[in-house]
Parts: sequence; structure tokens; C-alpha cells
Amino acid sequence: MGDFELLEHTADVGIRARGATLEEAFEQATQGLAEVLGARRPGPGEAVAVEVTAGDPGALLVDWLNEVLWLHETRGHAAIAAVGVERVGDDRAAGSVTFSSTDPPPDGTFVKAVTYHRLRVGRDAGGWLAEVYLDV
Amino acid sequence: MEPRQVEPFVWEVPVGYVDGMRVPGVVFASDELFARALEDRAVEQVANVATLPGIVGASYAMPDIHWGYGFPIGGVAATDVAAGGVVSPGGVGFDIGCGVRLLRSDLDWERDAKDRIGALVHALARRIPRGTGGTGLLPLDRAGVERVLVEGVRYPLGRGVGVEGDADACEDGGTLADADPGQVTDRAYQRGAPQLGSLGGGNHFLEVQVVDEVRDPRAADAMGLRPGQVCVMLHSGSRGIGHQTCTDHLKVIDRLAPTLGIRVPDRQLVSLPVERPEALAYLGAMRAAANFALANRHVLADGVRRAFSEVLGRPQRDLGMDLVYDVSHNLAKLEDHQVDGRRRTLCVHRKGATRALGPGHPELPDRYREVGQPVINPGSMGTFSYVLAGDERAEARAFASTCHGAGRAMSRTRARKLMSGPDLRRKLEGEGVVLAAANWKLLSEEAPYAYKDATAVVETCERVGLSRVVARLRPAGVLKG
Repeated sequence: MGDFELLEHTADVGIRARGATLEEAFEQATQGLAEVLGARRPGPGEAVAVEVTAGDPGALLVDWLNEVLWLHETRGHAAIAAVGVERVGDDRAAGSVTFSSTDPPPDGTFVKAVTYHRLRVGRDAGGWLAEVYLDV
Repeated sequence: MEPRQVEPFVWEVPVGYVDGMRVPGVVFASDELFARALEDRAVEQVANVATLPGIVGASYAMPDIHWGYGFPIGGVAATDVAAGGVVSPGGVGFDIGCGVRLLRSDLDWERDAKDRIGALVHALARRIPRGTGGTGLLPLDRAGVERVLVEGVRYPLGRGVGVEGDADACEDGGTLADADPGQVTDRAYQRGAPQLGSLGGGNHFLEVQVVDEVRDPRAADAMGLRPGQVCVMLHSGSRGIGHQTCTDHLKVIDRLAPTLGIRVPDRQLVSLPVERPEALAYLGAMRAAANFALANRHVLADGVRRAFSEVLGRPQRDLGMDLVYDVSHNLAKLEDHQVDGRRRTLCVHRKGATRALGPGHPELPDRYREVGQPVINPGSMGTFSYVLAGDERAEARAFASTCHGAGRAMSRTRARKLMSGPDLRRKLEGEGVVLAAANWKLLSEEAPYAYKDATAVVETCERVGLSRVVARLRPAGVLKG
């Protein structure tokens, strides 16, 4: 069972996500992003397919989260109801994110972007670990 | 290889502090400010920036330095373009062109505004879009956004928003040349199109302030500032279009840089030689986003004038709400500077730092030619802000740069734990500051105790010759993003 925690930073905020699989670590990192945004509202909604390509697992995570952020913002800051990462390969990550209502609006921290600062994706004792910082 | 103080308020981070440094780091700070910078990894980031290919002089940091995401906030780095110097999008950041502007007025606090401050803040809160979501005051279609990206403040001016003097009181006359909207992606357009004229969230704000003290009467006079006068300061940037522009170009550069043998100690510092087509594409897009930021603050300022006119029942032209100046603190610019006795074109990154041209600089508008460029330096919510003027010694010190604000001293989580938003509101209102926040829960993230002392920051800049203090402003009403 994966989880995530938020990491302290003087101006911004980080996410440390863990999962038994790399896919689960990506899912937990996405839940962490939704938590920061104040947009984490589990339930039904409209599933949107997400697919990104990049050169390594770290860049895939940054691109995946940036894609989720873009979808969230251009859908009127819609709540994030569910996250399913089906496959993270060498150069491609695919899955879906379920967006639901824009009302009430998210009550968390506005996120500008996902950064490469102290980016870490790799194996951990219990599975996979991903660390990423957000510009807020 | 430890940092050492080389003269009062100047610290050197020697080459070798981290591997691959090409120049030393130089941090302008008091003992206390430097100790804080060491604690929160910011000094390590100064050293990391010193590894950028083509960097000249030093990797500089202003006294409001703190831990950023790659570059330290408060960092200044210049690279020599002809010698393969690089541009690093992380040295500008995601909020491209983010900056501050200050409106003066003919209004006297005691006579005209003190009894109306509640109504003024209420009217501003109603009129100025802020926080997450929401549509800006001037939402545009794609063609309109494209014009803003090229024309900056000239586009809203042409539509009757603002007054002619506004452009002249902006850095670069309110329009950065050589912007390339073709390098701004469709995704960035989609994110930014509805947002022109919106404040955003985080540390963005709008404050009604009162000139509390004038320290340089000649410069204050040139800026139209006098004690007891009402001013409005606002802090915002390029909104989603800037964030997405940085994200999109960073991805390209992140993939390409390692293939060219460019290695950096922190991946967010990825960079390319300025003369590479992909770097030029980024710079064109960055200037376009910066023009959006300038236009955004311009449109917001128009909303401020309208709110004041409505509440005070006086036409805008009678309020004297002229723009003192608009400065950006997240930008990379190609500038000519003297290095080792030779004039060179440098790519000067200022990340949480402000350009500060000294008296006599040819780029200054006539009215500031003798006193130097105004620098608008916000304090934290509920504390003093400052208006500074560029000092000619800053050219030799740090490529004509100075501080950009107070600088954070504490994480957002910790700031929230120390006091709740509503408690902070009660405290500040007890001190006579009227508040409106888009999100009360998050208000204490921006509490005064989460920031360094802005007074110590501006006085350090004055001691080392980066800028002079012109006037001190105290907050009367705060609108938080």
C-alpha cells in the first residue's frame, strides 16, 4: 500500500511518494499534488487519458504531474477524484486521471509548476520512491 | 573551502565549495542574514549556479536570499554570450516577468483615506480577481493574447486601459523587444488566455500603503512621493502563460543539454548556450511571457484606479494615481557590461532580484535620470515596504542588481502551524491593517514572521552600494492572492 508525505521547503513544497510498484509511486505523487492543491476529492467524475513521453523515469514523473496540473487548471481547477497509472516504461507513462466538480473550488495552495529540483525516482527498500518539488 | 567574509556585508563562497564551480559565489548579507542562508541550503545553491558554462564575475546573491528550486531566490548570474555562455530557464523561474509596481496618488492618508480604508479594501476585493481560478479583468481570445505577448502594456493602452504615462514608468518602457509569440505553445495560450488582469495566489498581493518616511527627498520628489501620501503596491506575474512557457521549454532543454555535455549539479539548472536555436526560442518565449506579466500588472492597476474612483466619488484624473515604476524580478536579459576591462554582451539572470540602474544611465526615463532607477521592494504582509533607487556602484558589484523583497525565512507548513489564518487576521487588524484574503486558511503562510526583516535587507543593500533607500511605506490595507 503506497503513501505520500509533503516535504518542507522555505518557499515551495515537496512530495515524497512510495509505492510497491513504480506505477503506484506515480499515483501517490499525483495524490500528493492534489493534496497540495486542495483538490483531492475521491469519487466519480470524468476520466481523462493521460500519456507522456520523456527520457527517464524522473522526467516522466515531472511531465506526468505537469500534465495533471495543466488539465486541472484548464478544466476550471476541477477536483481530482481518482488517479490510475497503468504503465510507466522507459520512456512513456500512461494512465488516467478522473476530474470532477469545480464547485467548491480547491482550497489549497496554488501550484505554478512541477520542478526538476532534487528530483528522485528509484527503488527503495520496500518498493519505489519518488521525490519531487513544486513551485508554489 | 568554507565561505568567508571578505568585507563588511560581503561573503565569498570559494571555488571548490561544490564541484565544478567556475567562479566564486558572492553573497551580500549581514551576519544574521548569511547565517540563515547557510541554514536553508541557499548558499549551496549559489555555489551550484557558479558551475554554469560561461558564467562571469561571480554567482551573486542579494541579502533576501533563500532556498529556491535550483537557483537561490535572490540570485544573479551573468554568462558571456560570445564565450558560449548559457541561458538557464530555471534562472528565471516559472513565474516569468513576475514583478512589482507602485502607484502614487494625490491622496493624503489622514484627510482622504483613513476613514474609507474599509470601503477601499472591500471595493478592491470585489473588483480584483485573485486566488485560484477566476477570470481576469481583460480576458482575451488567442489573437488578443498574441498581441499582448508582443506589445506588453501597449496592447491594453491601445484599448483605452490605463494612461499614456504608464508605459514610460515601466522597465523597458512596458514592452520587451524581440518577443516571439510563435515559441509560446498552444497549451500556454490555453492556460493564459482568460487570466489577463488577475493577481494569482501564493505571495502575490495588492496593498494600500502610506508613505511613512522619506529618506532621500530629492529622489522622492522625482518619484512624486511625500510623507502621509496614499500609494498602492501590487505584486503579480505572467500567470499560467508564463508557468507553462517555462515548463515547455525546460522539457526541451532538459533533453538536449546532456547530449551536449552540459552537466549541472541540480537538474533544475539545465541550460543551453544562448546562441543555440533552442535557447533563442526560449528567450523569445520568455520575453513574450514577460510582456504578458507587464500587461497583467497594467490591467490590474487600472482596476485599482477604478476602485478608488468609485469609493471616493472622484474622477480618476483627480486622484493623481500615476505609476511610479514597474520592475520585474524574474527575468534573463541580454545586457552589455564591462568584464575584465572589456565590454561584453551578457545574459543576466535575475531570479528574485531586481535590475537597479544608477543615476545617469541612458536607459532611464528622463525624470529618473538624475536619481537612478526606482526599485519597488515589498516587505512581508503587515510590515514596511521600501522604495529604493539604483546606485551606480551596483554595476561593479553585481551587474546593476539589487534585492527584490524581504525573502522567506520559514516553510509554508511551519508558518501555518504557528498561527491560524483567522488569528493572524485579528492580530493584523489590531495593528490597524485591513485585510481581504482569497483563502483565509492559507493566510498565515504569508505571515510577517515567515519572512526576513525587509529593513535589514534594504539597509544591507545600501551599505554595499547596490541601492539607496528613498522612502518607507507602511501597510494600511492588504488584498491577498
